[in-house]
Amino acid sequence: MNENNSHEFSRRVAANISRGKTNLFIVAFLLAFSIFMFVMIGRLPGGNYDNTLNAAFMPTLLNYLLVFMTLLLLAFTLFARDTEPGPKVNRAEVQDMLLTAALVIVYVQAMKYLGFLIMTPLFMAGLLFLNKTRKWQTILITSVSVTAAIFLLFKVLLNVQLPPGRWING
Amino acid sequence: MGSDIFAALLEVLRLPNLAATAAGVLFGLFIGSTPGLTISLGMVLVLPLTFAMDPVTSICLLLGLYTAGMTGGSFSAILLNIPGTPSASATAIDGFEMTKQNRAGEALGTAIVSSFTGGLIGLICLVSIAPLIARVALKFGSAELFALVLLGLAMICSFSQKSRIKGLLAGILGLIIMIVGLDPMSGTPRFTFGTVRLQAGIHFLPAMIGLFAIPQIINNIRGCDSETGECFDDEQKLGRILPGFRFFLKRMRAILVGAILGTGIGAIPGAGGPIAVFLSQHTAKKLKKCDDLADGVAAPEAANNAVAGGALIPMLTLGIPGDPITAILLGALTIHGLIPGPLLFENNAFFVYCIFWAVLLANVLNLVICLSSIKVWIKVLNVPQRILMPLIFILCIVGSFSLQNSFFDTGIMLFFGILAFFMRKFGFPIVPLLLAIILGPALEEHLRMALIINQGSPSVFFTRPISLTFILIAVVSFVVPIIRSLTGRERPGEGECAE
Repeated sequence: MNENNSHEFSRRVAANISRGKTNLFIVAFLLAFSIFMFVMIGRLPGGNYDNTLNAAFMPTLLNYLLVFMTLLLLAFTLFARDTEPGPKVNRAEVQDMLLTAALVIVYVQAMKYLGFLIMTPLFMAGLLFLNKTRKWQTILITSVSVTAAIFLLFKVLLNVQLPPGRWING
Repeated sequence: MGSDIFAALLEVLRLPNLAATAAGVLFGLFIGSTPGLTISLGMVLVLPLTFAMDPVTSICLLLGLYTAGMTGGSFSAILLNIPGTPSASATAIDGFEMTKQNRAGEALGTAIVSSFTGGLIGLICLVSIAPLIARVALKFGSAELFALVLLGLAMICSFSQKSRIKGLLAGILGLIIMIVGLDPMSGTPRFTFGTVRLQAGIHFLPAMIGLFAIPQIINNIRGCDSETGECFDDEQKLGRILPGFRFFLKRMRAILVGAILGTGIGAIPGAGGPIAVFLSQHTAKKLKKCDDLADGVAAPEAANNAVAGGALIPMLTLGIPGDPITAILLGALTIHGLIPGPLLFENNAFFVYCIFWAVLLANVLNLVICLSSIKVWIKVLNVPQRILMPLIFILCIVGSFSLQNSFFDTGIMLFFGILAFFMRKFGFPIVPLLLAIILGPALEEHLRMALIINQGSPSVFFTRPISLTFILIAVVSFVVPIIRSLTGRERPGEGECAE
């Protein structure tokens, strides 16, 4: 009887490992992160081995909690009766994420030199084109009017600073 | 006294005061709904204008702005999934879901009517039981405030239906992120990696914009949904513009829960609106036992406007501002030679009644202006998605920059956007992370302060009744569902409510 139970248990754990690969990856990542945290906390005044209420108190407390919860996630992933298969990230989504990040970086870097007034209509036109707008009149009118509206709203009405350019202060 | 009350009503209804309230409401709606612009910023912008005004006119303008700013924050949350204010982040969760189901009109209508009801209940409490609430609020020391923040976090983490452990992990990650910066007590730099910019810590507004808006932009960057592959249809159905009376009657319990929690938590100095909105959303849904998106909008919206009434209680009765907005209001009153506190009720009773009427007027005008302009607001959804999405993208970047005139904040927004993208993909809820980011600094401050006062002994949290009660509720709300899932006696999933 006991042999049967332990056999069933090890089969369940093996099935959970294959189904819960994403969770196991998350557990590994979080444990690595907590080790990194311990190293960083050690560099704070009164680090890991001092439990007085100094700058390291809260990070240490949170890091112990992080390790505890990560181990709990590991236990649930391995021993739960019905571990759900982990989510999958498809390639198109990752490409879109990288594209978005690249667009933000390019826009911000270009704005540092050319300023808001030059870069925003160009960026807006690019985004409209990416979103399958092909009529050049629509692209022109939309990009210019959006830029003008944001400029009026932020700069003129509210006197809120918009990014100036190093080369063109717009 | 009776004549003073009536005279105050007549004073508030004078044309300049009506115009000032209406102007405040319009400006508040605009400020609240624009990502990156805060109500405090709006108040600071109009504050110099009030110097030359009559005290009643100036308080009418500021209260109109305060009330409408809270409601305006929910408009961008519902229509674009970008909360205009931190208090609107709870509304974004269910409100935007309603917009995706072509129920944007219903969501906006629910938000507006709930805001009005919440504001009204907050006012009733302010008028009737202000001294009592103020006395209870004063009993909140560091231990109680820590326990309250802990309760808010525990409830939100336990709210994560799919995985409570991942919910709590998200909350802990949020708290760890908020450690970055100078230690508030000793001034020691923590995890700043030698970067001066990081010493000021991470502002929650760019984080909030990134968490909500960037995953949506990533999903639709090419004009098609990258998850489902569906491309945009320029024609969007708007659904019912305003729900009927019976619809609101069904949401009355959620509205009342939001209003009561909002007033109570708003009255506690330093507690803030975000705890109130998330707690009320959670409680309203728990009480209903089925997933009603409209309740998820009604409760937080009632709460955030009730917070405004609640926050006025300690400010007027004790002269203690509960948040930055009431601190600005306090400043405005002081400029006019009115010192809030117990003596204000004795020496300037007429002015106190004017404030009460001004709160009522601000709520009524907010209701009227919002309801009459709901069709204009909803036109946002008529803008084709292929134009709207780039516009949101630019607004997010400009909004995060304009907060502190720094591209560093834009980087923070992008970081949180990518983090939210991966968290969503790996089944981590976003809300506990966001709440931890907003409440993290307060949690640490109150925890350490309570421990320092009690010479490092944690017994302070268990010997004070309010603190002990909050901690017990927090533990029960988190541990019981985990035990249930371990013993296989978990409650079946909550289905959609039948209309």
